[in-house]
Formats: sequence, structure tokens, C-alpha cells
Amino acid sequence: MVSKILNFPDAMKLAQIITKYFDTESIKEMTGEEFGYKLFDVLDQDEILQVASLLLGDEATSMKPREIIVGSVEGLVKNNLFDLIQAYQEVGIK
Amino acid sequence: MTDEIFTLQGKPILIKRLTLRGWAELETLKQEMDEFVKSKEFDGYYKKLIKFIQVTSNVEDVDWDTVAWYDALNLYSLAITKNHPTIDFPVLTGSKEQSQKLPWEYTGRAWYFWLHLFASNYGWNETTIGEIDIDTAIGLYQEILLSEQLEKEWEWGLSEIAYPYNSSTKKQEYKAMPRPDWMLPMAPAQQPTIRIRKDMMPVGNIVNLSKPPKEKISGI
Repeated sequence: MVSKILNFPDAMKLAQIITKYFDTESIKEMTGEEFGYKLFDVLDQDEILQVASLLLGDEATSMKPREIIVGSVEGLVKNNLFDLIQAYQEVGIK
Repeated sequence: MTDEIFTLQGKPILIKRLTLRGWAELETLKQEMDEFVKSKEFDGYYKKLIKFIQVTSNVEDVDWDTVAWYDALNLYSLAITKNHPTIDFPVLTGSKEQSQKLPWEYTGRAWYFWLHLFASNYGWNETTIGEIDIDTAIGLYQEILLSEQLEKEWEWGLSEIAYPYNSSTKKQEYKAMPRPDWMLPMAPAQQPTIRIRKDMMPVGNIVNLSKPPKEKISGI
């Protein structure tokens, strides 16, 4: 499953979930893989499904957990997560 | 200022600098976007953002649901920069007080504000006012405010309000009319050097205790 580049509304929804647990300071030294594992450690089940369906589409519900994690991390990197969080904070929707 | 070109989904998008009429519409869109930010509505915010880009450019036939979020924001940022005043007008510096929404404010008021301002001060018609550049409009706005303030200060000086009674000195003392923040004097970048008159310096021999005392020559 190929992760997608998000449009603006979906990107903001993703940033809204992630910024509950992380900000730019806490992730700037992490690699994509480190962040991916930390993220899926803190998210609850509903949030994992939301993140996965945003980045991977509706088929995410039928994927295996490892595929979801790997695909989502790839999607977060594709969508320039660091810049996305900065943009979300600048827009000011919290 | 030249128009900027941005490539979106392989199509060149030209971002224009608008005249006052278009700029007033942009100000209305910004207010609506602020309202969506407060109510946390991403979709509404994005629709206004797209409208902002469409008003400032020649963009057509773009499926905005497939546009990457960073492309949309970059276009928006370019449109903002293009339609921003290029001069640092003092009147635009923020006031310390937070502005509250006034009862006579409504969506779309910006254009009527500018139209009324220039029509009443200079007698221009709607077409002429609509074609003014943003910098010219704000510069003239500042000059109008300045003239009004100085005239009010003159009238203030002629009235009793300017000379309130001071019960401790038992006199009437002049009290200047308050000025808005942007008209107040700026603090100097470097403090001036203050020279002290020689006759006000301390008198007597000055003993420098940081150095050892000189030895006296023997025989004297």
C-alpha cells in the first residue's frame, strides 16, 4: 500500500492528532523510524486508525499492524511532518 | 512590483498584486479565515484559503482536493507577501490594547471603510478609489489620521479640558491630549552622553587608592 501526500484539510487533521503528544522541539532530533515507534506507542486505537486511514486510505483497516506502522511512517516522511507541525502551529487551529 | 509565477500540478499560476478594491476583499477573506480558526473548522478555513488564492491569481480548473498541503500553503504565502504593504507605516504597528469586535463591524465592511475615507477627504469617485495601490492607500490614511489628530490637539488646547486644576499646587496645569501609540516618540537607539559641568563636580584633592602612594624624595 502506497502512502499518499495529503491535501490541506487532511494534513491539518493529522497534525491535530500528532501535536497532542509531540511538538517540533521533541521530534527534531529523531529519525523517521524512531518517531514512528514512539508515535504508535502513545496513540490510542482510534487515533491509530485515524492516522492510518488519513495516510493510507480506507484499505488501512484490513492491513496488518506492521504494515500500518511502516506505511504510516513512510507517509509522515512524505508529508514533511516537521514542516507540517510548524505550519499547523502557525495557522493556529488547536 | 512584478507578478510571481508558481507551478501547480504542471500549470503556471500567476500571483498578482491587487489594487485597493481587491485588497479590501482579501481583508474580508482574512477575517473569515480567523473566524474559522477560532471555531476550528479546517474545511471552512481551506475554502477561504482557496478563494484567497483564486482572487489573487489566474488559477482555474484545479482540483484542490488533490493539491498537496505544502503547495496550497506556499501559494497562499506567496499571495499574502505579494499583497502586503511594502512600506513600514507607523500606523500599522499594533496597539497594546486588544481590539474587540465593534457593534458596527460586519463581513465586507473593509471596502466601504476605504471608499468613505477617500471620498469624504478627497472627493474621489468609486472607480478611482478602487484603483489605488495598497501603499498609497495606507500612506494617505496615515496622513488623514495625522491631520485629524493635530487639529483635535489645537482645539483641545483652546478648551478648559486641557488645563485641569491641580489641588496640590493650587494651579491649573496644561495636560496634553493623548496620542495613539503610533504617534508617541520612539526611544533613542543610543542614550545621549550627558556632560557634567566642572563646577558641579566634587571639590578637593582626589586620592587614587588603586595605586600605591609615591615615595617622598629624602632630604625634603
